[in-house]
Amino acid sequence: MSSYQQMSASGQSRTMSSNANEGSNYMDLSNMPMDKQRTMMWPDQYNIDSGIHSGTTTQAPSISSKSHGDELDDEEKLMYEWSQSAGFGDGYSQNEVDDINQTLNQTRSQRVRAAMFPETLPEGVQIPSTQIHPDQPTAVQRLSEPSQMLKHAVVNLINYQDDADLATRAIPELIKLLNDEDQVVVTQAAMMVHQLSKKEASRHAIMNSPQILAALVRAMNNTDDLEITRCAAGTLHNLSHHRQGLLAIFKSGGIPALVKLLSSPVESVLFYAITTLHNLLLHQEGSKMAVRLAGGLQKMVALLQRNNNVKFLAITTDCLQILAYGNQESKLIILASGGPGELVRIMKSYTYEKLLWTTSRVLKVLSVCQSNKPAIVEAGGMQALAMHLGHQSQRLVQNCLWTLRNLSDAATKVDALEGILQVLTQLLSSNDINVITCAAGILSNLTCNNQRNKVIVCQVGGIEALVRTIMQAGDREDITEPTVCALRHLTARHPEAEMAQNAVRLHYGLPVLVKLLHPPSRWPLIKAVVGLIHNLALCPANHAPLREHGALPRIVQLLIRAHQDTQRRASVSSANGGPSLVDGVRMEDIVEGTGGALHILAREPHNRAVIRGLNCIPLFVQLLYSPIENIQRVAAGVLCELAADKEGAEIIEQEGATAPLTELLHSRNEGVATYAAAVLFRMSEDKPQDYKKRLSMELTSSLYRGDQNQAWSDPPGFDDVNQMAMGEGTREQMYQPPHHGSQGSMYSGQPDINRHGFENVPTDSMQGLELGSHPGSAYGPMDNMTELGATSGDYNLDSSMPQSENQHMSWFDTDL
Amino acid sequence: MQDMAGHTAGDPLECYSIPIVLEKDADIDNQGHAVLEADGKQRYRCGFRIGGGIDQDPSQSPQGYPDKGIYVTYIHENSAASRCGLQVHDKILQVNGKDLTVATHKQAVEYIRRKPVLKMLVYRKGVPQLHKTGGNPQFQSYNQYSQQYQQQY
Repeated sequence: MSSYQQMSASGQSRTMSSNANEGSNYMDLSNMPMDKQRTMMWPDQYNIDSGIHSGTTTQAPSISSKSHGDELDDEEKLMYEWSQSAGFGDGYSQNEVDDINQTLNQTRSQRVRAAMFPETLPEGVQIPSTQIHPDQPTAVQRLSEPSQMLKHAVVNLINYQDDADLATRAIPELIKLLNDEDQVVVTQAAMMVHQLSKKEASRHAIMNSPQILAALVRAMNNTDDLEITRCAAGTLHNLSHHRQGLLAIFKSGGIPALVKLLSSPVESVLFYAITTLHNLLLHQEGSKMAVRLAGGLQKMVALLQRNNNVKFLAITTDCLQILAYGNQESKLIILASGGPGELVRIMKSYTYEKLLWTTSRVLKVLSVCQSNKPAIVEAGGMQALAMHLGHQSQRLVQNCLWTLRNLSDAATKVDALEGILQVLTQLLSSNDINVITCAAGILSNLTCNNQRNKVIVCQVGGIEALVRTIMQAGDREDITEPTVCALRHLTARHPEAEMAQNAVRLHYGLPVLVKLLHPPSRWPLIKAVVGLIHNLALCPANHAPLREHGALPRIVQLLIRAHQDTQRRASVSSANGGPSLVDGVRMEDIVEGTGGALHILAREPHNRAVIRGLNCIPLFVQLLYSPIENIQRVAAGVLCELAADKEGAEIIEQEGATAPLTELLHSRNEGVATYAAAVLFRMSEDKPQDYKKRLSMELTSSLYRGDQNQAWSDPPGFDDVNQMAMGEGTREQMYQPPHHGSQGSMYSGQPDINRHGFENVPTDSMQGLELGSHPGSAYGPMDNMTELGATSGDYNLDSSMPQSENQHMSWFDTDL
Repeated sequence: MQDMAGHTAGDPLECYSIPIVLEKDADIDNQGHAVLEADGKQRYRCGFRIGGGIDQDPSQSPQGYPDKGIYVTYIHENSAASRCGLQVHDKILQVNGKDLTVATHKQAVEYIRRKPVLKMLVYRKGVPQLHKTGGNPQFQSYNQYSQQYQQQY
């Protein structure tokens, strides 16, 4: 900015702007028309108000001394203004004015230069200023800032151009030098390239030259010299911050060279290499494959062992995560290199949040691989991850939970999970929905089939926490489904099961569970709830509450619906062998589950009355005809319970259950046959004596037939629920039918009935029964097998078991 | 247990099998009279031959069967066996619920002769191998959640 210069010794500011072409006014008075002569007397006319502010003129300082006639009016006004603001007291003589003008003109260029190039001002020089008003900058002043910016831009351009030029000319030289035999020369060249890579223009030049990168990479590969390696690595590192640089590195074969550097013992080289690779993996297409091919995975896993620097480890683990994500082969390579062990060790040993987070992400990616899963669990992964479940960092906690959930189905044999189970139970009270969902899922899996875990969860207040979670979850099935499954596991098959069954009721769980049987619950959730209710019904104290909350009608309704669905599908496509799924759930499973629940609920007399009242005995009888053994079994089981009441038994008989039940006596499934026998027996209470006798004979013989049946095998697909049903001793119940008549000994539970009793029975009552299939008498009816084929091998007629000598007999076949 | 051929009798096994129902023909002689068994009952013909059994030595079989199971060695033309879809070299795993993988030759013959309708499960080479899904059905593998991962840079 130009400075104000006081010209008048008196201190009055008599500054004049060179805007006005006052020169002509003052110099050539004689040419002026008379009306302008007034201006000479302007010092005397202060009180004229021009109304014009001198600051509004934006004309560039005019150096010309010419004046146009029309401008004079403005100038006049300006003069007046000046006179007012300047407060001229005295007049100027013409000569003085001339002098002032001249000075101003001559110093004009100084003012301009001062505005644009303030740095060029010599010290202490006073340049006359033309500013009149302190608040009103002159045009030059206003332009000074923009002009300076312009100046800087031009300077930059000039410099840039220099750099780029320099580099472009220098690069071919450098390429030659890099290819030189002499290592010293190569070293110097590498250092030079490194320097160049630090500045933007020259870096661009390098990026645009594939040859120099190739030469650099080659030099790096072929040398043992530390300096060359370091400079080259540094160069690549600098280049890797730019997209074009990444592409250039990728194309010039930089990746294998960088992977090679990962074995370097020198820390700086290592850091350059890993950081550059990280940038490449993040932003450069094709890098992942190249790193994998160059064996980067193994090296990175090895680096995890060697290094303690947390930032370095964070970058390395992030590289591993990028490489392993979605790529099964990479995951297997990491496994083979000992990755899981190292990663778990890191989770246990460090506290730097970023490192923990990146490591947890690698573990998460690995945890979906079936081969890595057991390795991670064995290395103590569950405990290591659970350590951080209370961490501040939400992203770390979430990743740990996801990983734990993925691992949880492989962790059922792991001991020492108390800590984890406790933390998970506490996490059920979290505010974060994701956390709750994961915790419930993990608990569900960990309690599955594991007695120890079940007991622990019960002991740390798991039942209460889970019930509360269900209440708060509303209709969010993502949460309720795993939670209900966890409760289902916890209410059966472990020492504290009964306590758990009571606890659900005591924590007001029953109403909300019955509610979940209704819409909008979908089939998977319904299936889980039915199973849970089945378990809860094992506790007698729950019978009445369940009834009061309306569980029975709803379960019957579900049974009817599911059964209708299976019927419909069976009739639509008889050729369609496979079971059909609704929402991923087989309707046959629903039939079985609801039937099983009703079976247990029917132990209580009031419940039986309700079930009878719901008119479902016909349905159960129909279910006896089902081709699926499990369904037969539950149907027979419910009928068995219902038959304990006289009314029930009557209705069952009226519905024509006798025929299918008799058929089921021959089932190879032990449970089916036994229940069927029990129902028939109970139904026969009021029948005449000889009927009972004949019936019991039939039942006996059909039950103790011998080896025609398989070793009693459980029906397939047993889960916790059904196992409970069978193992709960329903047998014992059946073996104490009320009002049992003369055949008290038959159902005493000892299968050592006198087998020979069979053979004495008159044949006519044995119509339809299979005789003669004792073990040991397999060759009894040998006389049927007259035709044994054309070949005549010697064989031992009397042996039922193969003798070792038979191994050497000639092989023959038999025509049938 | 992936391959049924070469199964050791008594080992647990798991494989895909083909269910076949064979309704035997009543055996009729040339004059149209029913052929009877020794006890007067109608004889039925299945129309196939079986070989093998745990008391036989499969290395001596002309067909070169790999194990001691019961194999169909021959199928008569226009017989019940040919109509029901049974094929030569099928290995019979079960007949009417009776396991034939651990049976002697005679036991197998007897069970097959017993009933007029045979509900069989056979193994046929080339039927797709069973792939173990691994894991108890009650475990939910939460692998689906891994798909949510976003690459976070």
